Amino acid sequence: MAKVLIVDDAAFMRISIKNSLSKNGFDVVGEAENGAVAVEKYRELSPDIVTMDITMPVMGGLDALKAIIGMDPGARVIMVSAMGQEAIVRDAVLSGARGFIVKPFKEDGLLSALNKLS
Amino acid sequence: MRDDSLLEVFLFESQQLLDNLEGLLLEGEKNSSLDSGQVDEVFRIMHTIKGSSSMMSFDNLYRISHSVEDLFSRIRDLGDRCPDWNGIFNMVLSAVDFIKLELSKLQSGGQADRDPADIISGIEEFVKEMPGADGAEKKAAASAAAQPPAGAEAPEPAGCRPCYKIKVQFDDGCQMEQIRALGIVKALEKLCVKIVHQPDDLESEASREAIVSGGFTLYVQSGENPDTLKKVLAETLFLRNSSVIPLEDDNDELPEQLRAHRPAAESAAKPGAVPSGQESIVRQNFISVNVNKLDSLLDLVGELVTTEAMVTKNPDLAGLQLSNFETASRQLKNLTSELQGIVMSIRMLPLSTVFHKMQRIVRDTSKKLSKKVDLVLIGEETEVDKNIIDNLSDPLMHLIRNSVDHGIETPAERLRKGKPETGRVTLEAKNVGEDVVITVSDDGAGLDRAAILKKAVEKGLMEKADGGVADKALFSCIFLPGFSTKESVTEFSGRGVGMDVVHKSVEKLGGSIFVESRPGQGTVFTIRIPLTLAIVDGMRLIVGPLSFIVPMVAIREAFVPDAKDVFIDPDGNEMIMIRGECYPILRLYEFFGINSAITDIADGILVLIESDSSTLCIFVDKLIGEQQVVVKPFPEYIQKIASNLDGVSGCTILGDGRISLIINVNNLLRK
Repeated sequence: MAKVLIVDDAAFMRISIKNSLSKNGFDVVGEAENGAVAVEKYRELSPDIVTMDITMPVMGGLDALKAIIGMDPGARVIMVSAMGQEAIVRDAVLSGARGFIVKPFKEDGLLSALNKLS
Repeated sequence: MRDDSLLEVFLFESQQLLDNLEGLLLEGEKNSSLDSGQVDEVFRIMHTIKGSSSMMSFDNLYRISHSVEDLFSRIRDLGDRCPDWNGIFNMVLSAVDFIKLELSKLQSGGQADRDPADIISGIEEFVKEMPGADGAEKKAAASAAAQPPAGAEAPEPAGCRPCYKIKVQFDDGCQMEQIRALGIVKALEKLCVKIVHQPDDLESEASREAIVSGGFTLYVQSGENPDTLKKVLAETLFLRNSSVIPLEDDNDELPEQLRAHRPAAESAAKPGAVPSGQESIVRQNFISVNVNKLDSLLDLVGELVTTEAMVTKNPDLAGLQLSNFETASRQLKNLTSELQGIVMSIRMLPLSTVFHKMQRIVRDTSKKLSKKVDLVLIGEETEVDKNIIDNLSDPLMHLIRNSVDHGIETPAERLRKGKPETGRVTLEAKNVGEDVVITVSDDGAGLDRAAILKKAVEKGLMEKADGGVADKALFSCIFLPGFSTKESVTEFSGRGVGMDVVHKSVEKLGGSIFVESRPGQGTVFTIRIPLTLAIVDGMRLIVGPLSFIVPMVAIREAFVPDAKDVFIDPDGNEMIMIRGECYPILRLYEFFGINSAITDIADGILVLIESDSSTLCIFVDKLIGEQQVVVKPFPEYIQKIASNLDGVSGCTILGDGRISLIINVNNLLRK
C-alpha cells in the first residue's frame, strides 16, 4: 500500500481526500496544515506520495515542494490547485512536481492520479 | 464527493472561517483599512471557502467566494496604493451574510439555492472602478517560471540518434492542459537530445485550447530505449492516450531542427527562486473531538459517580466497622471527583466566540439607527460548557439589540443630557461560585417605569394604584410573553417576542435572569447560569413517600420550626419570622399535591432556600443528607403529558435505585 502525506490548510479537504484514499487502498500516514509542517512530516514519515495544496499560511505549497525536492529529488508530489493558479502550477511543474489536480475534482480523478504514481 | 459527515466538516470549518473573517473586517473597519497581512488572510479565507464549496458542488457559494477572492487579489496587486475602503467593508460583509445564511440553510437540511448575482455584480462594478494593477506587482508573475523551451537540448555531440513522434491527449476537463504538456517536456528533457513540440507556445489560453482539441505532439531525438520514454508517459497524470512512433530521420514529417541536427537555442534559464516566507510555527496541542463522544463520556462519568455512591453507601455495609474499606472508598471518591472535574472541563469553551459575534450586532444595529455605540467586552476568557455557548448567543443578541434600540439615546439627545455622544454597552462574564454570571449593561435612558406600569395594568397584571410596587417585581414583567412598551414594531424590537424568548432560553439552560435600571443612567440585565447541569451537590429530603433533592447552593439553612414564629399575613400567606426577617412558607406536600402524614408545622423541617428573585422556606418531612447526584432531564413522554413542570428541573437515580426529583428553586414561586 502506498503511503501518502496529505497537505492542505482546510480540514475539509484533508478529511475529504483522506476518506477517498483510505477506502481505495492507500495508507494515509500523515497530514499537514501548512508547508512547514509538510516538510517536517516528509522528513519524519518518508511517504511515497504527497498531495500538496498551494495556498496555505506560514509556508505555501510551492515552497514546500521545493524544500522537499531539495531533500529528496525522487519525491512524488502532486499539487492540488484551484483554477486561476496557472503561474504557480507552472513553477511547480518545472520545480519537480510530478503532476497536479485542479479543484473541484471528483474522486475518480484523485484516485487515477495517485494510482499512476504508486 | 458528498456525504453527511463531509457536509458537517464543511459547515463547521466554513462557519469558523467566516467568523474569523468577520472579526477581521470589523477590526479593519475601525481603522478604515486592512493592512497587507490582513488582506492576505481575507484572500486565503475566501480561497479556502471557494475550494471547499466547489468540492461540495455548492455553486452559488463557489461563485460568491470566488468574487470576493478576486476582489482581494486585485487589492493585493495594488501594492502600496489604497482602494476605496469605505465601499469594501459593507460589500464584503454582505457577502459574508449571504454565505452564512446559505450555510445555516444547509445546516438545517435545506438547499443552498439563493442567487448571489446581485452581490457579485456589485463587487464586479467596484472592481471596474479600481485603479489598475501594477504589472510588476503581480507576485505570481514574479515567481513564474522562465520561458518553456521551444526546443531543449542537452550538450551532446552531433550524431544520429533515433527520432520519435510522441502524441498525447489529456483526459477531458483535467484543466491547465498546456502546463501538463510542459510537464511532459520537462520529464523528457533529460532523456532527449532534442525536443520540438506543437503547439510551440505552452503559455497562452490559445495553446491550451489547441492541445485540448488537437492533442499535444512532440518530436524528439533520443538515444534512450523507447520504453523509457513510454514510462514517462505512463507516469503522466490525466493522460487519456499516448503513442510513441519511431521516425526515420529523413521522414518528411520530422521538423527541420531534428532533421538537420542544428544546434538549438540554449536551454531555458531556471525558474526564479521565490523567497520563502518562513515564519515561526506555533504548534498547537489541540485535537478535534466529536461532541457526541464527549456527551457519552460525560454520561458515563455521571453513572460512575452514582455507582460509586451505590458501592460506598451500600445498605449492606450499614453499621459495619470497615476502616480499610473506608480509606479505600475515600480514595475512590477522590479519583471519581477528579475524573468528573476533568471531563466537565473538556467540554468547556471560552465565551469569546459568542462575545465577539456581538460586535457585528452592535455595529449593524447602531448604524441602522444612526446611533454611536461602543461595545466593551469583559471576561470573555471565562469558560462555560459548550451547551451554554450554543444556546446563549440568541438571548444575548436580543438583549444587545434591545440596549442599542431602546436603551442608548441618539447622539443629539445624549449630548443634551450631558452624556458622551457615544453610548456604551458592556458585556461582562465572570465565575461566581458554581455559576457563571453574565451582565449586559448600557449607559442609556434606563427602563421607562411609567410605561411598564401602564402596560402591566393594561394586561391586568397589576392593580391601577402604584402602591409603591418594587422595581424588581415591576421590571420582571418585561419577560412575560407579548409584553412590549414600544408603540411601533421596528425591525429590531417591539413585537414583545424578544424578552420572552430570552427568558425561556436562559431557563432552558437552568439559569435565571433579572433586570435593574436607573432612569437616565442605564439598564443592567443579569443572567446567572449554573456551570453544569449534569452533576449537582444536593440535599436529599423526604415529603411523604417521595424523595427530592435541593441544590446545596440554594440552601441557606435548615431547622426545626417553632410554631410561635409562624403567622399568617394580611393576604393569607403563611410566614415565618427568622431573626427579624419574614419569609413565606411553601408547604411542599401542598405544592406538589402529595399525601404526607406530616402536616403540622412542628413535626417537619423548614429549609430556607434562596433563588435569584426571592428567599423562602420550604416545609418538608425530614432531611436525609448531602448527596451528589447526576441530573437527568425528564424523559420526553413526561415533558409531553405534564401541563407544567414548575418546581422541578429534572430527576436522578439514587444509590439505592430509587428516583428522586430535583427541585428548581427559581420557579417554585410561580404557582
